[in-house]
Amino acid sequence: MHASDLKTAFKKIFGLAFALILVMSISGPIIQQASGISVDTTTARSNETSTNNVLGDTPTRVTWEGVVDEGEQVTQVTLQMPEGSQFTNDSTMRPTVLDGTRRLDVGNTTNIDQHNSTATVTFDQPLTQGQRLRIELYRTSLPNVDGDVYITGSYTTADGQTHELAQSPGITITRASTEERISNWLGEQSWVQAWNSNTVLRLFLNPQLVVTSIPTVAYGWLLSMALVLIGFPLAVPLGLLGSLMKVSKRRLFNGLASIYTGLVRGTPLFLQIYIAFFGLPLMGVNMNQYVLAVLVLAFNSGAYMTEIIRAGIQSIPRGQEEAARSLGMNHFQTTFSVIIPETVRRIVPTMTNEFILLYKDTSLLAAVGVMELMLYSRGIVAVTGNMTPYMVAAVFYLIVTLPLTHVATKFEKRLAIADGNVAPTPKKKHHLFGKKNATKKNDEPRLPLGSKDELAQDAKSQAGKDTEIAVEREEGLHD
Amino acid sequence: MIRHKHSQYDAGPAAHPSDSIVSIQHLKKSFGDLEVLRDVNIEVKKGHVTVVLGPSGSGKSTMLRCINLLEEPSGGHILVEGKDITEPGINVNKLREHVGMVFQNFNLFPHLTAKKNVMLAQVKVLKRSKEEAEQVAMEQLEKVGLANRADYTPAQLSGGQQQRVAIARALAMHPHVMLFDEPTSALDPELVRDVLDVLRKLADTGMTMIVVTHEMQFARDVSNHVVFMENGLVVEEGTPSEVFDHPKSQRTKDFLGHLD
Repeated sequence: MHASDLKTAFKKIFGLAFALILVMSISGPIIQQASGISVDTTTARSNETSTNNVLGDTPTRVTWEGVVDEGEQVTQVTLQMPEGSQFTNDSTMRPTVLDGTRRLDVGNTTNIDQHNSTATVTFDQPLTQGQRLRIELYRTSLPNVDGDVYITGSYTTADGQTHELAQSPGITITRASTEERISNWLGEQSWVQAWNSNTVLRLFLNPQLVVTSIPTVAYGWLLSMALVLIGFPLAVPLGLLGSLMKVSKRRLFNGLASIYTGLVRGTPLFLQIYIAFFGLPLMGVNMNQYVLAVLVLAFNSGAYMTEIIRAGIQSIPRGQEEAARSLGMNHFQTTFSVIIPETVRRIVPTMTNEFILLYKDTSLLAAVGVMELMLYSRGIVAVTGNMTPYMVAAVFYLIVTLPLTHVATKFEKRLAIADGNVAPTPKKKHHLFGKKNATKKNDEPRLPLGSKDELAQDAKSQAGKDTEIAVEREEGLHD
Repeated sequence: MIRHKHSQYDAGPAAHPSDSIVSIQHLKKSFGDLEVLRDVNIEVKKGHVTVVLGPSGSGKSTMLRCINLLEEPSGGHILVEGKDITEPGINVNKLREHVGMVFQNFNLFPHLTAKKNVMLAQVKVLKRSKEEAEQVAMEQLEKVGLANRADYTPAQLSGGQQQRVAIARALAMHPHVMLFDEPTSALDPELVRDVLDVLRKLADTGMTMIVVTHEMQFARDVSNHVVFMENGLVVEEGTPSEVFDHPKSQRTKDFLGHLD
């Protein structure tokens, strides 16, 4: 027990001493060569659009700087990029020699070794003491890791000796996401390069930017959808209330509703947004900007819905109300069991269009800094100076509006057929919709559907008595 | 074949006005300057079928709509089951429960199936349970021969079928009087018969009916009383044979001559 403890302790000490000797023997030259070139700067330019991050596995520009130490004459410098770095055919390097602030014109040859990830510069005349060498590496990729990486390498002095370079200061890398890597991969494809060589295509439909902007724009899309999906349902009861007030015979209700729709529909939503977002804080009312955004949208849309529902209610033939009332139903029962349900059916297309409009109008909230689809895409455009994110945003608007427009049109057609305003096309299942009305319309010479009430008949006949009687005669013949 | 009139089976109505279920006295109605009803007097006996004839614009539909106050009379009186409905403070909804009406354009509720059309007012107005309302609805639809169309929406039904549903809807309220406002005028000729058959059957049950129509054969066969109106006045009235076979006024003769 005791003996074995002692034995392990000895083993450790021995091992440590051995390791120390080993390290010293390796690091010895480095310490010694540190006086050859003092490496003081390594930086990589940010290659992410919206942040200052340096992404791994993404082309970037790396700058390395070192100063020749006292008594040294350097003829060649080779930079060894960290493991996982990549040079491509597009990668270039540019060495610059500075004496103080003066740029020296020193003849040189450069060579990039893609396989070993090294970049070498050979000078026609050796660099001397105090001269600063800056090497810029263009379109090189650093390893896709999270953390610091270092550039190492070697240099050759005038006497032909090669020494290790001191390790550079670290470059902090952020791991590139999938879409960034797809974008990088795209950037190397020849078709993408050909595509991007066209200015218009590059500025408006850059494939790489399409890929990289999708996640951000999609997030904005979700926010816009949330705004409209909460704002729209909130506007519906407002519109219902407004419309009932509008069709009401009471002047006060009617007047209030008219003021509401008049003001809201008579001014731009843009203005309303400004008033709400700048006016309320002035009054000391501060709330979450998304909540306020939803409220403004609902308030605005409610006015349009008021008119939509009002028009819907007034489009219900008078006969419907008369039928309900003649069954003993009171005004309230008639309104909520007959008129409103039928109105709903009729206004579905218009309400769908209102949804589309409201969805598009969420973009106006960008003006007051509510982060949504528009503002997120604008953020990328501001950084890249490329219109592609706007095109992506357009697609995100369209994936909602186009199908909905289609649906609204279908509803409209179905409604028109059900109302007998359009002869149903024979091949479709029109027996479900238009049969009675279609046949009646065509064959029935007297009066069309619904809304013509007896008053109209009675009044009209004073003028057109002769024709009316002629028609009656025809009908009488049926007996 | 000439059908029997129901009045031939039952005791038959007595002639004095107290037997009137609907009594229209000096009824006037104007729309602005337009005087549609000038002085209309009609007595409708319980269990009778009264047919109102006349050219368009004669005011017959307006007269009918005054009986359940869809139009408010400008003057005169209407007594329904002895009660003057032109008096202020009358419960209009209560009145309408007992006066069923069928419209020229059916006016079915398009968002509801045939059965639900018949059920709605039963539940809302008579406060019947859903089950009871449904049972009544099915009975009434059965009577008009459309029990098998109970779950169709109006758009899926022909005009004649819609009108029969509308009749079932009115009958489900168990009215005391039924008003028919040109019930077959909006129908294709081939669909008219089904509706008239329903009306005939209804007359046979002893329902009091006031029918504005142009169906002369129906008027002859089914009615007990025929009223001929023109320019807001009753020009002539009497039994079908009196009016059709021996019209007194020249205007009636002209009108019937046009038709025959």
